[in-house]
Amino acid sequence: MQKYILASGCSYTDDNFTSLLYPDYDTSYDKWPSILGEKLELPVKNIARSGVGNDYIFNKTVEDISQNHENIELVVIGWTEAWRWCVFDYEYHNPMSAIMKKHKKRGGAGVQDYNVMSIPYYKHLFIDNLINSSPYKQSYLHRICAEDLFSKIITIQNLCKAFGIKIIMSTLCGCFNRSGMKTLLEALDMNSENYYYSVDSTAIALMESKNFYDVDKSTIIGWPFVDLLGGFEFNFGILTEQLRIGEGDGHPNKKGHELIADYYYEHYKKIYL
Amino acid sequence: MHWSLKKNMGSKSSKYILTCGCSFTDKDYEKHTYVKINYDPFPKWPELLGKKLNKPVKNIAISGASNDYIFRLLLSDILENHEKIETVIVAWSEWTRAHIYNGVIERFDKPRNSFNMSYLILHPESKKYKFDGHEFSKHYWAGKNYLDDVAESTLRNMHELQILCDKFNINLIQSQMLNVINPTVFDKKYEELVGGKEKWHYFLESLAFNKHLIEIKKETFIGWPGVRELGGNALDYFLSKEDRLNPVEGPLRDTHPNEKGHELLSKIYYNRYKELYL
Repeated sequence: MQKYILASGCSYTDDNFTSLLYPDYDTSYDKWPSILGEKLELPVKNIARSGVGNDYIFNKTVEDISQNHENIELVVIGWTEAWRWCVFDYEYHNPMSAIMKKHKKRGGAGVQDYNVMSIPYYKHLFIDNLINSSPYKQSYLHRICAEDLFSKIITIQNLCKAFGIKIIMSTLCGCFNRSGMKTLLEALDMNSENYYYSVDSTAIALMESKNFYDVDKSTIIGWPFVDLLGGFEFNFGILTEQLRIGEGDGHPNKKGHELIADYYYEHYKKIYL
Repeated sequence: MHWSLKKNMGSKSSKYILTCGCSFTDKDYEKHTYVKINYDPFPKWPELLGKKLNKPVKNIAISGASNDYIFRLLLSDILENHEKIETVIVAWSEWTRAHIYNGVIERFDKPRNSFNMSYLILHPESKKYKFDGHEFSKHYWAGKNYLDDVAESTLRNMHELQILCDKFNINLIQSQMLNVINPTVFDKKYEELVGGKEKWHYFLESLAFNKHLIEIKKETFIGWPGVRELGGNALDYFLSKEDRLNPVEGPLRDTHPNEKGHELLSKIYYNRYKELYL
């Protein structure tokens, strides 16, 4: 049996992605994992799913590697927004989209009702638990998100190493979206002082988080994700307007997917060929 | 009954036993308990087992941990230290616990690193949190697929742990320490929120037909599959009132194992270890 590429991620990687804002937009074009598969002449198993968080991406990737490691040549992952989470694999919580939906903004399209219903809980989680109870205040949220993501990255890197599988990852959807985080927190706690997210505070939060120096940066495109530290996320700096579906829908269009595939292919050549 | 999974133990003599679980396994339970009573520290079952086997033990259990979190702690340690690990022993917790952001300290009313959908139903205070805990968890219980995912999540963790230990030639003993789901949530009193006995039977069916079930080696699992209706047992069932810290109803009630309870648990693990690996 020919080995395959295992691709995992959110809507930026999902083979069956459709635009909620532009339902008539033809999204049947090849997504970046398929394009990469053509370049490397390898079949692709794409387990990405729209709306999911990094928990889901991690769980499903570990599951496939554990059960099919003998058949996997390469694992490619596009991590998503750090504030998303899920309860088991049951429901996907996206506090940002919930806020958008509540305020009838475009980004809230297609968001399930339970997200909106859970807004009091999000407020409790972010404001009471993670921010007001921490000496780091607002930067604690970035710190927690970074620690969570880095621990997932290291575990999957070690898992691939143990099974002799190649791996390349990036943050596609934007794990450390500063303006998004600010919008989210202000919406959750209108009575509080404005939350200030500078590029410096984000960089410091990342560098001070556990595991930062244990990540194998060679397998990551854009490490360490923050521009001040010389990194990038695809959603901020790489995907220009011409590479997206349209206003209000920042998902990559056909050309966007081709560009992402090029990045993964070049990175593959750089470290594995 | 005698199972023999004896491997080449000679080269494993200097390796350690890795244990993980929730508060029933936590070596520092006294520090983490919410019951306002002071206990003198006493050895927990992993330490007692280590003495019986004359082997070093690394106990990474944490009070309040969900099964997903327990799995991630084990996965991380095994991947980093597999050459030093002789045996992994896991004591799985309640299946309805979930964690957020790598087990960050979560506060509903008290510090914890997971939230428990059963607890949110049963705890009278949960309606008084800054959000309505009943309302939040009700939504999950009302969904049919929720219990499928509860079953899938823990069984997948059990199966993946087994694959990993096989890969690295590490001995493995799994066990279900607590009830898979607190049975009280299926009482008539909570029927409107949870769905009553019918929901429990649905869960059993989901568990029985889960794809991971047949993959897990039952001989390495004490009380497999941890549910009485399916012929198994949780270790908690074996603990009598005398084996618990303070079983008397009231604000100081604490059903965690006392010193005697931990001794009993260590004997159960020792016996299975002996049957499998000595």
